[in-house]
Amino acid sequence: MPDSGPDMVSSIEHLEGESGETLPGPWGPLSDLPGHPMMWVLIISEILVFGAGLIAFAAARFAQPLAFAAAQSSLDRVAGTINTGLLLTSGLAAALAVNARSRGKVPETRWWLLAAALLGFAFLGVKGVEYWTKVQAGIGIDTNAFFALYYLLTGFHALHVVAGIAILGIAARHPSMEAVETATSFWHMIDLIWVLLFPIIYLMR
Amino acid sequence: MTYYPTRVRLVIAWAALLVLTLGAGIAGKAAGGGTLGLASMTMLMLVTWVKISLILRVYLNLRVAPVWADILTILTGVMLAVVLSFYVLGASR
Repeated sequence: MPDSGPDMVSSIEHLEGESGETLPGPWGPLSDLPGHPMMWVLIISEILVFGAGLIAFAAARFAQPLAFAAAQSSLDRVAGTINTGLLLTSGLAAALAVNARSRGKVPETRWWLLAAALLGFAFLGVKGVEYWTKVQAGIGIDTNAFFALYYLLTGFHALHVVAGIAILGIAARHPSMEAVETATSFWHMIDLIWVLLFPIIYLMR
Repeated sequence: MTYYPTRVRLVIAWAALLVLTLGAGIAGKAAGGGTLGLASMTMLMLVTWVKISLILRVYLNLRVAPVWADILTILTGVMLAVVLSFYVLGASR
């Protein structure tokens, strides 16, 4: 859908009644959201799931402060910061893909989606090195409560990155406005969750 | 206002997010050791909340759905406040 200027029109359009009044869209209040409403159901669910996980992490840290402090000191905060920069930059590329698609620039859209996906691979590479270093040091998911939660939360997030790269690939193959907007919404959700995870797991001490 | 954020707006948001990440790194003493203390921890949570708000409103384009932007900003703010509460409880023992 081309940029609609001052009259904002979502990809899920609102209906117009017989007397010209705006009726709720087919998804009710979800119709206001950009992209496909079901993706937003997923995004909100994921934020709640990861939020619950992070609150559990904070509660476990409260119960075992010394064990958590010792375990956390072995995390690579610089690698975590680099990964934050990679995901934020991939988020920019994804948002630029939506911008390009809204102007009808399909090849440019594909390039931005590819850039977002490549930065996602770079994120996974840094994460892989982090995991490899831990495994080489004999640190696994059963080492203690800190690392159980660390592997669970960051591993679950990394799986979302893998899924996100696949979804960006589908959008690049079939770059309708709705597909690009929906795929990049998923990608931004991954970005947002990492922005929540990083300070709580790596920096809070 | 155009429906989708302009390229300039997106690049400004990205630059702001990177600067805030550096700010979080400083507040969180990413390159140092020791505990953060209540002031740094509060600053870290606030910076994180601002970053999330930027992602919601600009990257996810929720400025076109301001009620949803407010709901999700408040939801993530509550999550960060609960995490900070556990930190404060632990620090006061």
